[in-house]
Amino acid sequence: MSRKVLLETKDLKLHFPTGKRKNGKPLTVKAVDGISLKIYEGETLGLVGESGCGKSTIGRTILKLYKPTEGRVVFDDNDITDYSTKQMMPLRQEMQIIFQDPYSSLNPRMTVGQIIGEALAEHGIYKAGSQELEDHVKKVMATCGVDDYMIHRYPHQFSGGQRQRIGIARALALNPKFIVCDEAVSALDVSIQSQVINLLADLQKEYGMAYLFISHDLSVVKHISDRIGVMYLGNLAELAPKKELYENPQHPYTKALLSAIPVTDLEVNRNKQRILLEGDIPSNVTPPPACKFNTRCPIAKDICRKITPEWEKVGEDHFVACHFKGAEIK
Amino acid sequence: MVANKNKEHEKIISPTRLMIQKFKANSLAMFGLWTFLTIVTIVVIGSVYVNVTNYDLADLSRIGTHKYLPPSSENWLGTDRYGRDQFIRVIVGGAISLQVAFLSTILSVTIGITIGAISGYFGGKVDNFLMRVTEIVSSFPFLALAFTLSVIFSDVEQTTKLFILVFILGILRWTGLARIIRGQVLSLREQEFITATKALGISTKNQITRHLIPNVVAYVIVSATIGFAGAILSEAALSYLGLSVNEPVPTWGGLLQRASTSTIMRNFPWMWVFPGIALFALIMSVNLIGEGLRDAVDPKSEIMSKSRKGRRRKREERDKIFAEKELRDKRIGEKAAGIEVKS
Repeated sequence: MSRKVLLETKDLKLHFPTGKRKNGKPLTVKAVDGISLKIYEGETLGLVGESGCGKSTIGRTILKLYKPTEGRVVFDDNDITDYSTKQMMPLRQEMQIIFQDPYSSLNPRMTVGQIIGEALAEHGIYKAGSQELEDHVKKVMATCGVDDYMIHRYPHQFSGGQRQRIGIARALALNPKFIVCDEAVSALDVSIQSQVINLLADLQKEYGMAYLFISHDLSVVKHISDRIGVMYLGNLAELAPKKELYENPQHPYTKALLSAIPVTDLEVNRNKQRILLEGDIPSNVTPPPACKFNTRCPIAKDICRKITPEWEKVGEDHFVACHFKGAEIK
Repeated sequence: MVANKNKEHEKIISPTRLMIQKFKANSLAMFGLWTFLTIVTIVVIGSVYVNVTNYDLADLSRIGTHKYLPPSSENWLGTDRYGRDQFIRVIVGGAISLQVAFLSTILSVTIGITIGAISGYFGGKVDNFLMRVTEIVSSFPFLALAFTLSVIFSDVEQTTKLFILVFILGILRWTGLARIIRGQVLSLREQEFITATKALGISTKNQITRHLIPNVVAYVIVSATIGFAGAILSEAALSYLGLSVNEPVPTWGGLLQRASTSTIMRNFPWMWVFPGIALFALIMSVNLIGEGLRDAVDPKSEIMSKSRKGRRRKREERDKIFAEKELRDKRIGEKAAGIEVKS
């Protein structure tokens, strides 16, 4: 395929230190524990997983908001892993983030115009206080469905949905190539969710940026993504194009997740097999050995506790890490 | 679109504007503000008069004739032991008090913000170190240190002594503010809009000046106001102990100290009543302002009704609703009881 790789992570790891064991060994939270993925230009990669599996952390690590412990991040053919804050500056225009919480992500003491325009002035695209800056901000606001007469309002005068649009406008104002949507719609109610998702999809069509769409909502991810990655405890379990993943899931965890999507059709629902996972997600300070899913996997065997499964290709663009990929679950 | 056109000139209330509105609606705080401004105006005019006319504070020419005169049209607040006008002395004392309080508050706020912001923003080892320093400074015994420093600098000129006083008060009173600012900055740092500034590539300088400081400034103002009142009181206490500017320059604490014999207390009450009232009024007004600011800064407090009438109406409405609810509950209770009896 001739698609151009925009961003690549190679065995990316991020371990947060959390004190020491009694014998003096440092303890770490393995939030991201060796993730390799590629994001192509203009595509949407969905990333799903339970709470605490490291979805948000990887989004932020890619943007270098956290310093990775190990592994590389390559953006647009440049290895940015060891870039200093200063070196990152020009790249900040290219990669942006939309946050989960529309309430804490906007500075309560700045007007909408200042919030959206700040980075434009900072990067010297427009002069601070100039008419061009205001025009551009108004244009971006209009694109994101916020009426431009609100430019002098403060965040507290908006609803959650409007605030989220302002957050999107802020990310979009710089005209980035790549946006991390970190649970961008999770805090909104369903009707607003669909509006915002459609807005994101329309913007992608118009400007051709790539999204890393992080969510725990499978139906939302299904709607917007081209490819979907399933994460479990800091690792990728499965990565496949959307259609392939939903029709032909290989990893037992993916199967369990998919079986948990509520269906409105009663007829289908009656015949549906639900795979119930037992127990909670294990601690990522002391994750289970080998395959991390072995404690909850319905088909786990001895090998799963001894040998870490390889990240294998099972179809076009379809990768999975499991010893018993595709096995029936009874 | 028509509706939007109408809104184009809508009145935007910034958070700051909202705070001012809340403060204005708080009549007690406004009373404090007016009292404070009146005192400051009188003191400023008085000390300008003293400076312009080169008024001699050590004037002893009327020592025999005007000793301990009660308040009259000539000496508004009476005279002291040496026949000096008490009114002028109270005003000059106020000027010293205000100067010391203003300057030492500026000093302590500057140190407090700097230490607190650095500590909260950078965290880790820097935070640890600065917080230990803060703890050490806050455990200095205030009076002992003030005594020592005043004794060391007892021979210096009056103006220098004033600055030493400012220094003592300023250098010992910043710790509380530093802790508050640190806490605020720490909690702000976890907010996503600060992460957003990093993702947007905003420089550290602008992160601090545009995003952190505007969000803590309200707390600084409140804390500074309350610290200001504390500084006035501390200055009075130090000058009462004779550790401040000395005779012939008057201070409120000094004036009170001179009046602290039972003869003067009983026979010449104007000697202590007026400096006492001045001290009380100034501290009370500053504290009222501080309280008002604290309410105004709190986003959860609502705007109080401006007029007494409005407040009463509101209270009556609330009482009415409450009474109705009580009545309803009572009826429901009776009903329930009735049903129980029947069954």
